[in-house]
Formats: sequence, C-alpha cells, structure tokens
Amino acid sequence: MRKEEEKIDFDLSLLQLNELIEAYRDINDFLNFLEEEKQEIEDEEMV
Amino acid sequence: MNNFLEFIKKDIEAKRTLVSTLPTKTKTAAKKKNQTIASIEGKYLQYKSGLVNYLLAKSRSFELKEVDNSEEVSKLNEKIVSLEHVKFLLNPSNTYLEKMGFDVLLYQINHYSTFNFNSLNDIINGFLDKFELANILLTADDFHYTCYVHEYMSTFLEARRKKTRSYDKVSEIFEQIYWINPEIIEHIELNFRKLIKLNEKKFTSYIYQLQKEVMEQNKVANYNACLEKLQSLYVELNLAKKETVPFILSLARNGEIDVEQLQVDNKARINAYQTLVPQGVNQEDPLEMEKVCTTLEKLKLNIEEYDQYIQFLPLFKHFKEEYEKLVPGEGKESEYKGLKEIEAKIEAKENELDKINKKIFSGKPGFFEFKTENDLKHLKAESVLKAKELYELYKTYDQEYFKDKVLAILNNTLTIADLLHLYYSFDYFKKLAIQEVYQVSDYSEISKYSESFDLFAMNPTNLIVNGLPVFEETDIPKIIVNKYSLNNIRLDESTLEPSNLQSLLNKILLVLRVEKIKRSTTSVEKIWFMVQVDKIMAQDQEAKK
Repeated sequence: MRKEEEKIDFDLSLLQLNELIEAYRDINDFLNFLEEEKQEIEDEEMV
Repeated sequence: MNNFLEFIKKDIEAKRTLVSTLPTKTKTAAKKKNQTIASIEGKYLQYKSGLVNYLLAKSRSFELKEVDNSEEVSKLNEKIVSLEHVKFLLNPSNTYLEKMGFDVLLYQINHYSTFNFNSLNDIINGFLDKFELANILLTADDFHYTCYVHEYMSTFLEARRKKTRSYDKVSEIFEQIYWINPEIIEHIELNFRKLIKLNEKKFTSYIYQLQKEVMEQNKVANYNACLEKLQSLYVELNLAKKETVPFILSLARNGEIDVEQLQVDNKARINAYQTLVPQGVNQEDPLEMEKVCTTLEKLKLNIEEYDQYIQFLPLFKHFKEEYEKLVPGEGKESEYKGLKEIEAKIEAKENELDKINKKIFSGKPGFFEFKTENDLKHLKAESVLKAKELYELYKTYDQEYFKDKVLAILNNTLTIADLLHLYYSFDYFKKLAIQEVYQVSDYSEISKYSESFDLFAMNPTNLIVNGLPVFEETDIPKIIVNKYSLNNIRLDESTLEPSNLQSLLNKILLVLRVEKIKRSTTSVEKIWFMVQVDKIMAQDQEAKK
C-alpha cells in the first residue's frame, strides 16, 4: 500500500474519491471472505 | 492510484480464486493455506488502513468553515421567551387568576384522579407558593371550608413547614378522612378558589408590580409595544432559522435526511424540482433560483401554518358548534347576566356553609353547647352536603366564566386568530376543550396538545389565520394554490390535502437544501463523500470493538 499510497494525488476528482470508497468496500468484503476461509479450516481441523 | 480500484478488483478476484482452490485435506496443506491467507490478510489490512487514513484526511479537508447559526438562534429564542413572559403578564384579555397561573393549578386539582398522591401534594404546594409570592402566608385558620379540609390542611401545613417535608402523616390523615368524606380534594379546591377570590386585591397589586418590573427590564412601554417587538423578533428568528450548509451536513451525517436525494440524478430531487420550480426558470442562473427560493421559503411557512391549523381544526369546529348560536344578531340583545347570577348563588350558599362551620368550630350549635355527639355529626354531614352543592355550582360558574369571556369578543367576523388568542389566554378552558375534543384523559398528553397549541397561538408571523373567519367555510388549499400560481408555482390542490402536506414540505426542503449547497463553497458531491467516510469510520470502529 505504501507504494500505491505514494502515488495518491491529494487532489483526486470526486469521481475518483467515490472509486476509493468502492475500493474500501471491496477490501472489506474480501477481508470478510478471508475470515470465513480461516474459520472453515479451523472447523475442519476440529473434525 | 488512478487505477487503484481496477487494481484492487483484479487482485481480489485473483486471490479469491487462489484461496478457494488451495487444498486443506492434509495438515500440511491446511497449514500452508493458513499461512497464505495470513499473508494476504496482512497486506489487505495494510491497504485498508492506508485507505481509511487517506479518506479521512480528504474528508477533513472538505470540512466547512461556515459558522453554524445555532448561537444566533438560541439568543433570539431567549429574547422571545423573555418577551413572551411580558406579553403573558400584560395580556389584557385575562385576569390576575390566569396571570398568577392559578387556572393551571385549578385544572390540575380538578382532575386529581388522573394524578397520583404525590402530585396532589405538589399541586397544593403550588397553590401555597403562589400565595406566598404575593406575601400571603396562609395558615390552618384559612382552611375552614369544611372541618375535614381544616383537619387535612392543618397537617399539610405542618408537614410543609418542616425541613424534611415528609408527607407521611398527611397521607395517614387523608386515608382517615377519605372514608368519611371522599370529596375532600374537591373541597380543598373550593377552599382555594374562595381564598383566591378573597385575596384578589393583593394578587392584582402583585401582578401590577410584576408588570412594571418586566416592562422596565425589557424596555417595553405597553402591551402593543411588546407585540410589535415580538413580531420583529419572530421575523428575525425565521430568518436565522433558515438552514445553513453545516446544519444540512449534520442532518445528512445523523441520517435525518437521505443524502442520496441531494444527488442530481435522484428521482426525489427531479420530482421536487418539477413540482416546485416554475417552467422557464433557468436553474443554472443563481439569481433566478434565489427568487424561487425566496418564494419557496414563504410557501414553507404557509404550509407549516396550515398544518398547525389542521391539527387544531377539531377545536375550532367545537367552538363553532358551541357558540355560533350565541353570535349577536342585528336586533337588541338582552344583557347577559349568567356569570353574575351564579356568583350570587355561590356567595349565598358559601354564607350558609360558613354559618354551619362556625357552629362546628366553636362547638356551639346555637345558644347552647352540643347536647350530644350526634348534633356535631349531623352538622358535619350538613356542611359536606353544602360543599357538594357548591362544587356543582362552581362547575356552572366555570362554564359561565368562559362564556362571559367569549361573549365579550363574539361576533360573526370572529377570526381563527381571535380564537387562538382566546384559548391561549385561558389555559383552563383550552385544556378542557382539548380533553373533550381529542378524547384524552392523560394529563401529559393534554399538556402536549396545549403546549403545541400555545406555540401556534403565540406566533405573530401567522398569516393565514389572521383573516380566517370562524363561522364561515374557507377553502384554504385553494387560497394557497391561487397565491402561488401568481409566482408561477403550479401546485395541485391535492398536494395540500392533510395527508400530503409532509410530502410537500419535504419537497420544498429538498429544493431549498440543494440550492443552499449550490450557492455555498461546498458541493452535493463533497457532502455525499463526507457522509460515506463517516459511515466507513463508524463501521471501522465497530469492527475494532
């Protein structure tokens, strides 16, 4: 992220800012997906 | 960064596929998958944290520098409250009874069954406090309406004098008296009514002093000057209360308005503009739109006033049903004597009661002392009976008292504004009417109606009600529609149906808000962005918990 962040222009257009919000939501969903995957492995190990 | 979203979408898709396909059948494979997930998760948590920091910094850079007008509004409100008090004291329509607030207490004690015992103590203390304000210190000797009132009030005053103000003993006495004389509270009420009348001069003089003081403090010469001052303060308040952009932003942030509706392509926004912005107006021209907004501000006030009028329409109809038949015609009317007659009846009966009480209190039924305990019992029963009759007479007195006030202003051109002022001036009768019309018996609910009524009645910027006759049918929606068609705002009368008023108000507010934002240093898009970032931050905080 550091490298990506460095590239961020602070004067992004509002349209681009909206895209960042969408990116945030995608990342959040993805993190939830990873959590579920971890949980599945844990559940299988228990069995 | 310009392609950050694209990069994220592609990367997530690839990594989702990778994670989903990694085997977990053996312990080693599961361990390897766990390590891979941990590595991806770490990276994405970093992305997320960086993104949140960036979005927050960006949102902060959009924060508004404009100052909120809440301080100005609260200062104006303070001035108005203070002047409303002056108006209340100078009101030429009512008497010392209402100005002292005795009518409020009389209504409460008259409806004691709605309250619990503690609140009855509060009501009695309320009466005593008001007497003390006028330097009248009541003692047990003042309470001799019946021997039971005397007994109860002696204990009550004793408890009141004590620092602890414990009313346990009072409750005990009440319990004892109640089973002999269940109307004890009604008779306490009558005793207070008599004492209020007896001390009229002292109360009038107290009010006079108070009037002088508040007029001096508020630099008001008389009642009319007070009304003029209030009128201009209310106009100022209406201007100050116009929503500012920071206020609109706070509404959006609190979720009180839907921020999506502010967007240019939103259906609600398009519909509001189609309904309220006249055809031919160049919506990009700030001057033209400012004129439209000025008209919409006025329409908003008219609609709010009409909405309040509808809320109290049953009360106005009730008044019409009760008093239309009494509107004086052209012929010579016979003089109304109802109030004087009932006052005379009350006086005569109270004198009879006094005579009985004197015998009870002195212990001498006539020239001789009581022969038997039975004589005393008989006199006590007789006094209670007289007090009961008096209670009924006072009920008639109340009706005649209000009728007298109504007849003083009643004519066929009486307006809703006159009626608002009448009920505002006589709280007792306003509450009685509310109770009857809206079929409510809970005191807090009655008070809510009453407060809302007063706010409506006190507002000197009301326009519609000023010329609205009580005894004639008027099509208010038509009047409003015609007025605004002169400004090229073509309203459909159906939009002014009671159930549609809120929707019309919401449309007006939406146009006013969008235009306010357009004329400011920020934009609808920036406000939308700030609200989204707020939501993200809240979500982030929630996840950390």
